Amino acid sequence: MYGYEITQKVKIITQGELLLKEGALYPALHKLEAEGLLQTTTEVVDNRVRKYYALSEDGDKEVVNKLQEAKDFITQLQLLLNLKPNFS
Amino acid sequence: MRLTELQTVEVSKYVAAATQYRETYHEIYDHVMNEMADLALPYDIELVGKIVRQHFGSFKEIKKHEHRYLTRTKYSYFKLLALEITGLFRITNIAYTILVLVLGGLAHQFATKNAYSLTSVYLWLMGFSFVLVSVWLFNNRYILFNLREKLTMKGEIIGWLLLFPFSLAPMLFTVFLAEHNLFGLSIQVKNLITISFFLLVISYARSFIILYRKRLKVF
Repeated sequence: MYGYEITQKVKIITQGELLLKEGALYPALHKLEAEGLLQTTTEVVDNRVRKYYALSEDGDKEVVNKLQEAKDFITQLQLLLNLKPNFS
Repeated sequence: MRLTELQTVEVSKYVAAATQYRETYHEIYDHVMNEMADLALPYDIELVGKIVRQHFGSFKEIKKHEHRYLTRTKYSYFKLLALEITGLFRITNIAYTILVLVLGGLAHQFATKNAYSLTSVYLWLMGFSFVLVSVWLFNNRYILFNLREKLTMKGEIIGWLLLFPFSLAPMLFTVFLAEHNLFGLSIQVKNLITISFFLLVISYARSFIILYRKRLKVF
């Protein structure tokens, strides 16, 4: 996927609730690329160079870890939110 | 909206002014063109400026980001290069490493036997390699003298990695190899230092070639 495509995809999936500002998106993409978690290819589309991002092998493994981290965090958050103050 | 050829050139010039490197230029230009195509508004260069400012920040912020991107990528490749160099001690590369060490040993033995100083060989080889590397960089358009063309991050990283050993060479010469060197070293010791340096440079160059062929990609 290329940068603009990612922003549009996020917009569609979240029904416009989450707007990815590219000022935050591209630095994040470049950081992940430098860390070797993303691999890139380029193609010429409509006379301009387009850069595509895809998960690298290391990136695939990292996604599993990060998803687990996120799930654990949400579980902890739910536990905290379900706490009822005891006044007795 | 559909842009005319003149409008496309105007957008391109605007993005070119905002960016320092070709890679970021292509990415921002593609993004702006996609956004413009999706907008149902009449063309205005102010609109282009608004999109760039909104999504990428000011010109200053874009250049700051480019600098961060370049530094990060540069060091990640330097790390990969260091990994390739340490890979020379892996069992799979042992034959090559032994061969290089034997050649180094033979050169040292020859120089010692004939009381020959390798300092002049060092100077000639370093000078020749520097010219060769510069020509290669220029030939592959990693060094540009054309002010109208944008530099590439890839070119800057490759140049930095390739010229790094040459930045050490003058210091090595002044401190250890010059006639009036800092420690008053004998010819034998100087030859040993020269050969060790060459062995390191050869390993560095070999690792660079492997990295360049396999992984060095900055788009």
